[in-house]
Amino acid sequence: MNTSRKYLDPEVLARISRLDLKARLVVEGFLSGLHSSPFKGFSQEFADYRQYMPGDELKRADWKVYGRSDRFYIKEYQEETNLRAYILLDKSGSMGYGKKISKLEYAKYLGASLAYLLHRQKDSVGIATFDRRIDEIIPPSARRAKFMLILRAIEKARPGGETNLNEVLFELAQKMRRRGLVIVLSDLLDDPDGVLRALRSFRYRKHEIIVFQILDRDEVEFPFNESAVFADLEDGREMIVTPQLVQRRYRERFKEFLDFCHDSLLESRIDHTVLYTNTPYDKALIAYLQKRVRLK
Amino acid sequence: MMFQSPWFLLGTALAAVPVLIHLWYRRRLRKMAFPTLRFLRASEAQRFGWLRLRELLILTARCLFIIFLFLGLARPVLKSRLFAIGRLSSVYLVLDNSYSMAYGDNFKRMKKLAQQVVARYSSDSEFLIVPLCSERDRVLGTWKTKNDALDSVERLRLTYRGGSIAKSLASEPSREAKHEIDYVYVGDGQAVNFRDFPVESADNGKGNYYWVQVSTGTNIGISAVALKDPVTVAQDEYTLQITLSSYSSRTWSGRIGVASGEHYSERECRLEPFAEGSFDLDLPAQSLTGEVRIFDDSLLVDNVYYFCKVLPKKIGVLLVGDSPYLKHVLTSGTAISGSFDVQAAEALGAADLRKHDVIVLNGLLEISESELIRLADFQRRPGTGLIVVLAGGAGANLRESVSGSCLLGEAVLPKGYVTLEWIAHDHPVFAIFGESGALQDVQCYGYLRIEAEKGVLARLSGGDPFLVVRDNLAVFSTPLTPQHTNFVHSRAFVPVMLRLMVNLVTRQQRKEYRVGEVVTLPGTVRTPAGELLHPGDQLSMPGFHFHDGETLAVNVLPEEGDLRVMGPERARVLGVSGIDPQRDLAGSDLSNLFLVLALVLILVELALLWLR
Repeated sequence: MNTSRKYLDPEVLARISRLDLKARLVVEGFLSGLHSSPFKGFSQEFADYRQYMPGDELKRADWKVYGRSDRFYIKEYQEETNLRAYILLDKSGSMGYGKKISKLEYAKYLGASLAYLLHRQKDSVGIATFDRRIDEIIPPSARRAKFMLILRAIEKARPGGETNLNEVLFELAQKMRRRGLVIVLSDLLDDPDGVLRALRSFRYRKHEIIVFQILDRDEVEFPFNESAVFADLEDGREMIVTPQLVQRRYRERFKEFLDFCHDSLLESRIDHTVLYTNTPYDKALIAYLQKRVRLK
Repeated sequence: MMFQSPWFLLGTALAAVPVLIHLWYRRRLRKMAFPTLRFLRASEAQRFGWLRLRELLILTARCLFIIFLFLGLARPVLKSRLFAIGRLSSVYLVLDNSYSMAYGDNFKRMKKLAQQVVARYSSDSEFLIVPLCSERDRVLGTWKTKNDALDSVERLRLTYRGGSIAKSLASEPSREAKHEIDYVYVGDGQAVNFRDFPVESADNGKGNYYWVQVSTGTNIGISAVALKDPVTVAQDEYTLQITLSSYSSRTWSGRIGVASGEHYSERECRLEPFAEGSFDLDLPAQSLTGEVRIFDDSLLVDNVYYFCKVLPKKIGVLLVGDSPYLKHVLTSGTAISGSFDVQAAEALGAADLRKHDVIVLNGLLEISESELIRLADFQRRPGTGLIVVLAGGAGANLRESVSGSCLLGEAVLPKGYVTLEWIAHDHPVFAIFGESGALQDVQCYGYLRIEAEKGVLARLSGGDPFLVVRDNLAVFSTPLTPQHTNFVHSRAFVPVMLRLMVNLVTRQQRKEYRVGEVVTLPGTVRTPAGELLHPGDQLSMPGFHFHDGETLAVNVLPEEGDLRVMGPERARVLGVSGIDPQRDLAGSDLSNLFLVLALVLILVELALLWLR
C-alpha cells in the first residue's frame, strides 16, 4: 500500500492522535491516488499541463501546445469556488458504538478530512455538532482560524444522550439561511420518517445534501452467539437476548430500515452513502467529490 | 391437611434453588451496549413477551416441581370427619378373605383399603389382624406395629370359605389392648357375614365398630346339584337337577353346561330377580363325576359345581316279621319296586345278612342276643340300613338294638287317634311332599313312646316321635298295620318307605362336601393342589379330592355367592359405622396427587422448552 494511502484505513488512522494531522493524511493519501484526476479542471486558475490520456475530454486539450509540439496536452486548473459547506456531526449516544473505532470516531475523522479537503480547496466550511440538541455550531468560513476551530469542535465531540435528529435538523435548517452543501454524518437511528422530513426541509431551502450514514457491521449483521443483556446506548433499557432466536428477523428489519432510508433519500434527491466503521475514507471522499462535480 | 412424613417438607425449601440459579445466570450474562435495540423490540416485541413469559413459566414449573415432589413425599392426607387421621387406638382389623371377595378385583381393593386404614392411624397404635376366614375358629392374635400390620395385610390370601365377623371378633389377643379399641371390618359386608353379630355391640361401649365398604355387584350362583330322582335305579341315563339362585335385581338369561368325561350338554336358563330355579340336565348312567358350569356371570368360582354322585342301585331287602303291606310295596310291579330284591322271613334266625342291604324288623317284640350282635355287625357294614317297626312293646335286646338312636318307653293307646303333626320337609325322605299335605291325614291308634334328641323326622300330635332316623337306623314308633295306623293306606306310604330305604343305604356313601367342612374320613384326603388332609383338617378349596381310590367333590358354600350386603338400617341396629372409601378414605392420601402433579410439571417444562 502506498504510504500516504494507508491513512485511508480507519484503523490505521485511529493510531494517530492529532486530528488535523489525521485529516491531512487522509486527504493527501486520497488525492495521491487520483490518477485520472476527474475532479480537476473546473477552476479558472491554471495549475499545470499533463499528457492527454484516453478518457479525457477533447475540449480540454490545449490546441496551441498541440500545434507547437504535435502532442496532446491537457490543461489543468486549480479548483476555486465559493462553495459553502455545512458538516453536521451527530454525536448522539448511538454513535458511540463500535469495536475498534466507534461510529463517532469514524465520523469525526471523516468530518475533519472533509473539512480539510474543503478548506484546501478554498471553500467555506462550517460545522454543527449535536445530539438531542445542537451542541456547537460554527458558521462556514474559508479562513484558517475558523478551520482550526472546526477541528477543535470535532475533536471535543463525545457521545451524548438520545438522538433527536428530527428536531435538530429542522432547527439547523432554519439557521442555515444561505444555500450550500450540507454534509450529514449520522447513523440516522431515529424515526426514519421524521429524519426524512427534516432532511427535505434542507432541500426546500435549496441546500444540496449528502448523507453519510455511518454504521457498524455488528448493527447490520447482529453476529452475536451468546445470550447477553443488551442495553440500549441511548435510553439505557435492557433486554436479555438469545441471538440465535432473533438474528434472522433482526437482519430483515434492519435491511428494511436501510432500504427505506436509501430509497426515500434518493427519491428526495439526497445523496446517501452507507459507510461502515471499517470502510476506507476514500469511498466517502469520492462520494463527496462526485457530489461536488454535480454541483458545478 | 396433615403430613405423615413431615420432615420431607424441609425439601420444599429447595424450590429456591431454581430461582437462585436463574438470578445467578442473569448476573452472569454479559452486558452489552447496543444502539439498535429498537429493531429487536420492534421485530420481536411479541416474541420477547412470549419468551419472557416462557422463561417465567419454566422457572415456576421447576419451583413447583420441587415443592410438589416433596409435598408428595411428605405424604399429605386430608382429615376425615368420620374416620380421623392420626387416631391412637388398638385396632381389631377384620379382613374379609371369604370367597365372596373373589368378585372382580375386590380382594385386591380390600387389601389396598385396609392398608389405607392402617395408614390413617398414628404410629403408636397397635393392630390385631384378623382374617374373616381362618383355619381355626378362634385365633390367638398378637398385636402388631403399624408396619407389621401393613405387611400382614399384604400377605393375606383369599380363601374359598365363608366367614363370620362375630366369630372373628372372638379372637383372643396375646394381651390386653393398650388403647381404646376400634373394630374395623374391611370387606363387602355380605349380610351372611353379620348373621351372628351381636346386636348389643352398639351399646356396649367397648369400642367403635367400622365397616370399610368394598362395593360389590350381583351374582348368579349354583345352590345345589342333586339327583332328580334319588330312588329310581337308573337304566341308561339319569337326570341332574341343578338349582340356580339369583342374587341380582335383574332378570338373568344364560347357559348352564354339564361336563362329565366325554359327555357334554348344556341348556338355556332364565332367572327372575332374586329367584331360585331348578333346571334338569340328563347324563349317561356311567357319568357320575363332572362339573356343572354357569356361563355369563361375574363371580367365577361359584359358577362351577363339582359333582360326584352315587346312583341308587338294586337294594336287597330282608323283611322279618309279618309285613304284607311292606311286601306289597317292595314287590308290586312298579318301576320303583323293580329296584328291590325282596326276601321275607319270620325271624332273623340264621339268615345270611351279608346278602341284604336293608333289614326291616316289623312288629318284633324281642330279638335274641346273637341276633343283636349280628345286627350290630350288619349295621357297621357300609351301605346298609336297618328299619325297626316297633310293636306294642319291646324286649331288652330290641331296646338295645335301637339305643344308639332313641330310648323306648311304654306303649300308648290314645283315645281315638293321634295324627301326624309334623314332618321334616327338608329331609330327602319327605322332600318330595313339600306342602302338599299328603301326610296330613295319617292317624295312629297306638304306638310305643320313644325319646330321641336328634334325628326325629316326624312327630305325632302331642310331640311323640313317629319316625326317628339316625345314621343307618330308622325306627317307627307305630306298627305298620291297619290296626295301628292308616299310614299303610296312605298314598305317601309307598314313596316314604322306598325313599327311606334308599336314603339309609346311600347316606353313608356321601361323596360331595363343602369348603370349610372337617375331614372325618379315615386316612388322608388329597386336595387338587396335591396337599394331604388328615382327619380334623378343614377342606379349604373347591375341586375334586381323592380318598382311598375314591373321588370326592368339594364346592364352595352356596351362601358365599349371595352378594347381598348388610343394609344401612341393619348397620345402624348393629352399631356399625359405614366408611365410604370414596368419601372417607379415597383421596385422603394426597401423595399420589402431588407426585402426579410433579410429573405433569416435568411434562409442562419439556413442552415449554420445545415451544420456542
